[in-house]
Amino acid sequence: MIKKIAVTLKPYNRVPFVYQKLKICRNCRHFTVLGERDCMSCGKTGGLQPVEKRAAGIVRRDQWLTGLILLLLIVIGLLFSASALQTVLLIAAGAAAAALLWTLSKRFTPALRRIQLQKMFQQYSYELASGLAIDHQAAIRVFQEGDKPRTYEMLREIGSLVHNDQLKLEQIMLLQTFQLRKDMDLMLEPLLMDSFSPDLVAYIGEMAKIRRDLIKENTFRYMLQHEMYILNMPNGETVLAAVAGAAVRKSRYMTMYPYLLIRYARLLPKDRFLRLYKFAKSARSGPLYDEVMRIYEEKFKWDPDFQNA
Amino acid sequence: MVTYVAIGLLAILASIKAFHYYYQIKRAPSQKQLSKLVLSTLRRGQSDRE
Repeated sequence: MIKKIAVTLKPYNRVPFVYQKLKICRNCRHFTVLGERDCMSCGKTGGLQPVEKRAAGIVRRDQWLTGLILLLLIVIGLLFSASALQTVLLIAAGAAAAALLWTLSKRFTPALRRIQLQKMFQQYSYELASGLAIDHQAAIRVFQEGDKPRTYEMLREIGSLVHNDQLKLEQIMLLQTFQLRKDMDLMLEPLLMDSFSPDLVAYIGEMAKIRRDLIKENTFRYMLQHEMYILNMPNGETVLAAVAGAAVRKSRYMTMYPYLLIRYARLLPKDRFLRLYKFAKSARSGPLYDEVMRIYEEKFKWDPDFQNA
Repeated sequence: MVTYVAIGLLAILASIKAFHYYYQIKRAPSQKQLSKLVLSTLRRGQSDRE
């Protein structure tokens, strides 16, 4: 049995769109998600810049260049102006052009930045993929130095962009060495895999005890898909019962997964079963209702909590 | 004469830039599309590595 260590994990920085986690090196153009100042690929100190800031800089530079050309034309025109009329026409044309371009650039700057980002990601696709691979190697180095919490934090960041089972498994294996607590910034859905993994199932079992709110449709689906394998695990039935207990949290889940509840209702603790009982009573018929009533008659018929329900 | 050429160039520059902006805006990806681009690039990178 692995001795679990008490750790403090940094909160996970959630962003609306995953590409916002990326930084790019001003020197070698390699990408990273690890948020360090110095580039791990070329070693340039302070070379890293968020990709959005980089794109904004390119757009701003282009706008400044346009403004400069505009100014140059106006100056040349003024220098060679032969009459007051020409001067007035030149200034009016210059002002109109400047106003038009300023209005358009203000309005379209967000879209122009997105176009720059698209160009960056397409042009430097090799640097993007290899940058994340370098990040992964850096995480492995940190693990070999013995800093497991930091390794997990690094893998968590990389995992927001790289979705493969190997990375998920590495995170789960690390999490299983930590004493998991309710107040930790934990996740479950991003760690779900397609294939059966006993470590993932064990982790789900832990989550069912301390963070039931993380157990949602995809997790229920996973457990049902691999139920036969899970039942062959030493505590498989207990984990399935715990997940069934998590389903009792919402009426929607009880409606969507009645057969999960039917199979493991008998193993639910009293408070969980009471919630299920109230739900089933409102249904009044069906296989779930029948099973719940059967268990109620056997175990809770004389329980005062159930009399008041 | 030079002044009128400069005025002409100003008008041309403003027009080209305006058309350029409108053309670019039609092609601009959404933030969701950018995320998908990054994820697909990384997926491709992984399979190449494998």
